[in-house]
Amino acid sequence: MSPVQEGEPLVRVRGLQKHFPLRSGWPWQKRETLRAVDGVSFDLKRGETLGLVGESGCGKSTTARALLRLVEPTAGEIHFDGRDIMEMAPGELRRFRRRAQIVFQDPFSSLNPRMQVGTALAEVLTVHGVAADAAERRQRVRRLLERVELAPHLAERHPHELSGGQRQRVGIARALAVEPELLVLDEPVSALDVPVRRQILGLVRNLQREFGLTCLFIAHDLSVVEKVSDRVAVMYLGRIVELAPAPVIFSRPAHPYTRALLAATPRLESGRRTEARGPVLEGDVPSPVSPPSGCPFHPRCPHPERDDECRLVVPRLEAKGKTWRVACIKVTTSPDARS
Amino acid sequence: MTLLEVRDLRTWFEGDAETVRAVDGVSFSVGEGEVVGLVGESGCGKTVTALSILGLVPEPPGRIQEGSSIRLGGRELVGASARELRSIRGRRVGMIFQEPMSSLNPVYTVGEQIGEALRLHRGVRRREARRLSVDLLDEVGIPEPGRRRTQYPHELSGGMRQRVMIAMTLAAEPELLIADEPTTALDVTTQAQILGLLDRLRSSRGMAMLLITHDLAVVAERCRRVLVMRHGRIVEEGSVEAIFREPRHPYTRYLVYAAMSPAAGAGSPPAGSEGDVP
Ligand SMILES: Nc1ncnc2c1ncn2[C@@H]1O[C@H](COP(=O)(O)OP(=O)(O)OP(=O)(O)O)[C@@H](O)[C@H]1O
Ligand SMILES: Nc1ncnc2c1ncn2[C@@H]1O[C@H](COP(=O)(O)OP(=O)(O)OP(=O)(O)O)[C@@H](O)[C@H]1O
Ligand code: SF4
Ligand SMILES: [Mg+2]
Ligand SMILES: [Mg+2]
Repeated sequence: MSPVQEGEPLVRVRGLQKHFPLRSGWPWQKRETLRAVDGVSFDLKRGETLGLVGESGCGKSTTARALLRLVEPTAGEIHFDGRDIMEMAPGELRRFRRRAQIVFQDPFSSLNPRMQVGTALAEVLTVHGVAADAAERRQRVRRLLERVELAPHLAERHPHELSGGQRQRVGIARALAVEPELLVLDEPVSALDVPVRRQILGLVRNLQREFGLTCLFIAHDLSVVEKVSDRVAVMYLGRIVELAPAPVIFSRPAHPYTRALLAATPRLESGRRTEARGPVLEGDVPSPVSPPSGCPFHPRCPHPERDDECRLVVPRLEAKGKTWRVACIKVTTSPDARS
Repeated sequence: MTLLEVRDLRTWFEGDAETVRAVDGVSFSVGEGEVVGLVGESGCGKTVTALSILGLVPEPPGRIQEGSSIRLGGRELVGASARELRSIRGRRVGMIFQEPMSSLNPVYTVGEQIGEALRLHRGVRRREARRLSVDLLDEVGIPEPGRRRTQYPHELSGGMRQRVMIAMTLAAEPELLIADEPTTALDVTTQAQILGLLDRLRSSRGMAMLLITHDLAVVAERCRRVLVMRHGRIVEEGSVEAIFREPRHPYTRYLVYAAMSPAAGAGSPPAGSEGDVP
């Protein structure tokens, strides 16, 4: 798909946790914590796109924010290009802030409401010293808007004077302005119709081919994730339960949760949705405040061999094949051996 | 019976440098208990149409042009007093906004905000409001509604915020619901749950709905009639079956094609159709 480079990964995440303390109703009550991210480890190889999927609230955006040092992890380490991001000195941090960019799920939150979008983009270029002079800045801003399919005259608008999809694209242009090495995309195309969506995804793929851009791509639309990702990580209740090359995840998923998630995805034929291919997940997502013991998926797991052991043993994300990792004590065979 | 009747709606933004004709001659109607889909490319005027109906277009620079008419249950809304529009908003016409954070108040808990809607529009007492807000959060699929009630919008995930806003809008039990991309942040399972809930409200309370979306799959499943918008106008209108069978406008053809192919996200269109979309 894209020229993924083996060797030292661009990003290395180990044992990442982010717990939020909750306000308690009464002073004598014990303060509880919400385990938004609860022990996540993965690498982002240079030039690859890792898709991150999972139900609403499973911790995708929180993981993304931690990667950019926008929230402070409760535990764990994040290395960017070999350096611990929490230990970066101011100068290094400034460079990091240019090299790693994020497109937020909510475009409003990342755009300055009082600034015309063209001016805001030019300012980003100035701050990071990307363009030499005003003429080059103008030129670059025009080019950026073009790349995300926005008409040049929209540069003079304020964010509230744009449509939802136009605003989302300004967010993308802003992240691309400084030519980052790492791009985190949190639901980047959810507000876009198919033609524009295709253009944006094509743009990201081109940047990967030309400049070896590395991406973390979060989306709930699995058909989009399937198209853009080299590998996919499936998250459940703050943990990664399966991580494998995209074709493996989509054709031969092994973790019972991944299977259920995919089975619940209907396909559209002749204007009507076909029935989902498998059982829709039963029951609510358990509370991230008091997650289940053992395997966090056990209360909903449809695996025929689910037993007491699942309730006691916390499955680790283990390598079951060369490129395939899964957190389930009942999965033993490698996907290469399965058909 | 017709509930909403929009005739020749033109909503323009008159700036110093340019006049944006965001909506430029739109006519359609929505019957009582009817679900009508509104689709069209980004920036074609869907949201501005919705804001016009609610009397929420920022004026200036926005202005609903002379000759436009929006009738709700026979009552003309264009030119109605601010007070009258306020009494219609929420109570009679509810709106689920495209960007949840733009309509949630960051300094109140989500429970307080839903409770406020219940008290304001339905005269529910405080204690009762608390119970009902938990029920509503539960209905839109928020796990642990009792706990989530006490959280602030920024403490929720994107998909939860979207559902909180849906709960807030439904709290008022509107006759007409305008849903602007209501499920963009939700996975298919949750999306199906929300759309199912809206369906039930339609059949139990006769709530009419204008469903704005770029997802034709959702339209196919939930609407009988669909409007296709482009550059501020409606370019095609018809039953969902007819539009899927025989889309006339090139843009509609493209949307239908995209919705039917399994990997609609990034695939290539069939030969010939690409050139149709400028
Ligand atoms: N600032 C915060 N304070 C308290 N809890 C938070 C905060 N930010 C996130 N959370 C909680 O952390 C959990 C994970 O949230 P996150 O936004 O990462 O989910 P997500 O996977 O991105 O979901 P979605 O698909 O709905 O966007 C949720 O339960 C959320 O309520
Ligand atoms: N306050 C404003 N001033 C000037 N132009 C505006 C303003 N608000 C919206 N517009 C323009 O009006 C047009 C229609 O906007 P609208 O928000 O209705 O689009 P939309 O169909 O909802 O698109 P999307 O699918 O991207 O949300 C857009 O081109 C937008 O840039
Ligand atoms: S460990 Fe047990 S409960 Fe967890 S996914 Fe595997 S079979 Fe299911
Ligand atoms: Mg999120
Ligand atoms: Mg819109």
